[in-house]
Amino acid sequence: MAVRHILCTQCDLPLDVDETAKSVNCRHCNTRVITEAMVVAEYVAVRRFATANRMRITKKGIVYAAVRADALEVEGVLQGDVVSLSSIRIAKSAQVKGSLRGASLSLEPGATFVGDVAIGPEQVPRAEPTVDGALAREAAAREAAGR
Amino acid sequence: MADSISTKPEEFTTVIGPDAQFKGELTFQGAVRVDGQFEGSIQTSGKVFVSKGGKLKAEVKSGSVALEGQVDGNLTADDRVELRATAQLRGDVRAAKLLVVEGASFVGRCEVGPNLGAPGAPATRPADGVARPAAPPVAAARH
Repeated sequence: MAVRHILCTQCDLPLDVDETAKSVNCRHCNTRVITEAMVVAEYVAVRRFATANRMRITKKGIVYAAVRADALEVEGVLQGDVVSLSSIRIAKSAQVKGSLRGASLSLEPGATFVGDVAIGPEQVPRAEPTVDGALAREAAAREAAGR
Repeated sequence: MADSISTKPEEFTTVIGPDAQFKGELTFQGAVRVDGQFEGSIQTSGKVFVSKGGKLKAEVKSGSVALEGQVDGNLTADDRVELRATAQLRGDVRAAKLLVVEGASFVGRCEVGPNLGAPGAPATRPADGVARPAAPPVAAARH
């Protein structure tokens, strides 16, 4: 079972999930956390739009929401505050308004962006293995070595 | 990297050396390279380059800006602002193009888009023109 280390999109606490899982319930805050990659090619207006995986807003995508993702690519329209644990890529066709927080930012020439920015590795929490998960893996490794 | 600001030493007519500290207003036509410390304001139609050891506490208005060092202040560039891997910027950016390389740190407000960096550019923000939903936002099925 391949395991992915993620952070709960609600409480930011670490979770270990199966790589194929589409969603999990956070064991810390009991919120349902979407863990599948998202491709948004439609109009979405919600308060909060989150995934513990990659999110891509295509040219046809229009999103009015606070967005949270592991990595974000915007080619369409996005209005709302963004948190991305790794990169934020704003393509030349994108129009973005809101605050951005992420580890790195790439704005293609031609992209329009207005808002506050907090970019840098220290601006976002890092997803690291949970203690339980690390112990379980160590035990599995010891067992495999002992065979 | 053809699509980036060239920072070859011979291109800079003005250089603030690594052991230099400068306070004041700098207005000129060419390119400046800051290896030391600068406090005040810089105005040029050329480029401004703050190298890895450079520290800038200034209001900068220029053609383009490339950063590898620390900057505390607002940047306005007609063309391009580049934050390279070691750059640390605290301040606002207004430019036509912005590049933030992984590892760079940037905290501030940002206005980027075609025509935004040009002097006398309209104060209206293009993103304000983003088509608003005709109907009041409806909660989508996804959450």
